[in-house]
Amino acid sequence: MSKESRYIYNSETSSYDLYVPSKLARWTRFGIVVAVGLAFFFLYFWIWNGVLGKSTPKTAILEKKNAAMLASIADINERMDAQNAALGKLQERDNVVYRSVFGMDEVPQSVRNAGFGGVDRYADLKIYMDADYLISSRNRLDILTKKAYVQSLSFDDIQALSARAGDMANCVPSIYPVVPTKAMQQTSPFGYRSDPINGVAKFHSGIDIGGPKGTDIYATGDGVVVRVDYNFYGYGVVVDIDHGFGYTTRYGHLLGASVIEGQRVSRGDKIGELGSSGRATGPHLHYEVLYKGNAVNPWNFFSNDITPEEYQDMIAKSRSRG
Amino acid sequence: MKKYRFNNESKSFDEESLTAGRIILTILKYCLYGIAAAAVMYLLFALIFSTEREKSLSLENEYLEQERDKMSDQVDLLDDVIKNLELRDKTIYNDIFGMDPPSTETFIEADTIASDSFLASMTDEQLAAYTNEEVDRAEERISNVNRQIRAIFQTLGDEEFKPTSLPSILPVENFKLAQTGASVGMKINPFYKTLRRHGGFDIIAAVGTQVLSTADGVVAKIDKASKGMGNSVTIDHRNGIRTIYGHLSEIYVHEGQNLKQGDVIARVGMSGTTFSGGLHYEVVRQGRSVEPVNYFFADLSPAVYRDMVVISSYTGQSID
Repeated sequence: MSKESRYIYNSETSSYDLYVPSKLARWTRFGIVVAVGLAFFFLYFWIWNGVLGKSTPKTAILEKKNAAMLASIADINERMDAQNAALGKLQERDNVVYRSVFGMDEVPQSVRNAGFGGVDRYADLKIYMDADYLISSRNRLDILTKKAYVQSLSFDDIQALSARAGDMANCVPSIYPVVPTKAMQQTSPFGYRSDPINGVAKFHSGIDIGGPKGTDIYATGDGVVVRVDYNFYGYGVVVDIDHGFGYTTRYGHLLGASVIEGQRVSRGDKIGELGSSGRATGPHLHYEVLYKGNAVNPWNFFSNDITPEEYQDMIAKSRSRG
Repeated sequence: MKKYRFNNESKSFDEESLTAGRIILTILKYCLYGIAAAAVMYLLFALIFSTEREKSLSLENEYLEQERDKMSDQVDLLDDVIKNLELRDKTIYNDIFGMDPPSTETFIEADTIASDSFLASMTDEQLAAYTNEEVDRAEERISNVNRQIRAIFQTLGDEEFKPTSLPSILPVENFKLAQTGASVGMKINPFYKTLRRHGGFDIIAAVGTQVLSTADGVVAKIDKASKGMGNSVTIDHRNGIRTIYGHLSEIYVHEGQNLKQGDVIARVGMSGTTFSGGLHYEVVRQGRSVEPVNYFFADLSPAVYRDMVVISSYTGQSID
C-alpha cells in the first residue's frame, strides 16, 4: 500500500481527514493477496509440472539423490565385472590346468554357474521403480558369491593334491612292470585283436608280456593296493593299484600276489609273480593302465631310456627301503 | 467514497483519479504480493505434505541406500575372498610348476576405461590434465600403429611376397575356442607328469577330422612311427618356415607334392605317444619352433585370438 497518505473530505466539518482503512477493508485486502497467492501457486505448479513437465524442487532433490544411489549401485556393478573377470581367470586355470594335470574331472559349468531357482528370492524388490536393475544386480552378486564359494571348494580339493605335486611324477605308472630284458617282451598289444582262445575280434584293454612263470612283477608307480582278487574266468589272480591323479594299474594272470588290499606300495616294489591263472593260454602278465576309469595304451607310458641295469638298481633301492 | 491526495506543490487536495497506469500498477503490486505468497505457500506445503511421487521416491531412496550398503559390504567381502583365492591359486601353481602363474594383465588393461565416478571426482584442472595425458597416449599409439601399417604395406608391395605362403590359417576347419590345447613352452607331460618343453600347439580334435595345409608349400617329409609324434607330415613353405603335423591317422600326400593353402593333407589320429586324440601342430622358423598361435591372424577375430592366446598359454599339460 502506498506510502502516500490519502484523505477523505468530511462534509460536516468541511475538512480533509486522514483516511484510515477499516479492519474489514484490511482483511479483505489480505484475503485478496492470499487468494491471488493461491491462484499463482496453482498456476505455477500447473505450468511447471503439467505444461513444462518439470519436477518441483523437493522432487528434484529426491530424484537427484535417487540417481546418485543408482550410480553408486552401477559402480558396484562395475566392481562385480572386475571380480567376475578375476574369478573367470581362476576358473579357467582350475579347469584347464590343475584338473587336467591332476586327472580330476572338471567342475561342470552347470554347477559353477548355478542360479537360484524355486522361490522368488527378490519379491521384496518388485515394488520399486528400478526393480529390474536392482534384481539383476543382486542376482549377479548372489551368483558371484556362489561362484567364489564353488571355486574355494574346488581349490580345497586341488590343494590337497598340489601339496604333494612333487610325488605326482612318482605316482604315475611310467615303468615296465617287469625287468625289461630281451626275454620279457610284449606278446600282445593294446587295441583290437582276435581273442587268443575263441578267435573273436575283441578290444584288448591292456598289453600282454610273456615270460617264464615266477618272474617278479613290480608296481609301476607309487600307490595303494585297492584290489587283490581271484577270477577263474577272467584275469585269474589280479591286483589293482590306485596311484591317485586319475591313474589305476591292473596286473592279471598272476601266480600269486605278495601284497594285500590297502597296502601302500612304491614304484619298484614287488607285488606278485608272473603266472597263467584265469583265462590264459600260457604264462604271461596282463598289464592295464586306466585313466579316469578308461583303459589307455600302457606302451605310451614306458620311458624308453631305462636299461635293465637301471631297472635292477631301482628294485634294489626299493628293497632296501623295505 | 472519494479519496483525495494532498498536492504538495499547489498546497491543495486533489481528487484521486483512476488512471490506467495506476490500475496496472495496482494489479502488478497485487501480483507481486501473490507471487511472494505463492513461494511461501509452496515452502509450507513442501514442509508438511509430499506428493505421491515424492512419497514413493523418498521410500525408494531409503531402500536404495540400504540395498547399496548391503551390496557394497558383500562386494567388499567378495574382494577379500577373491584375493584369497588368487593367493591360493598362486600357491597351487607354484606347487606344480615351481613358478608364478603367467600374467594376462596386459590384455585386460587395454580394455579399461576410466569410470564415470572417477572422472566425476576430479576438478576441472585435473580433468583437463588427465584428458591431455590420455590424448598424448592415444597419439603415441596411433603413430605406432601407423608405422606398423606402413611396414605391412611395404612387405605387401614386395613382388615375391604371397600372403598364402605364411601359415596364417588354422590346420582344422570349424575350429572352436574349446579345442585350444597347450602352446609352446614348459608343459606337464601327461605320461611322466614332469615338466618338459612342448614345441608345438595342441588342437583337441576328434579322430578323423581333416587336417589342412596352413600355407602353400611342398611336402618335405612323411614319418610313420608308433612313438613320439607318430605319423607326421612336414611341409616346407620355402621362406624359412616349415610346419609339422603330428599324431595323424591317414595321410593323403606324398613327399615332394606341391600344396596350396587349405589343401587337405591328412586326418587327425592318435598315433605316437599321445594322451588323447588331437593334432600336434608346429611352426618351425629358421630351425626354431615358434608360437603357432601368433600366425593364426587370418582365421580369427581379435577377440577370439586374444582368448586363444590366454587359454593356450594357461594350459599346463600337453597331449604328448
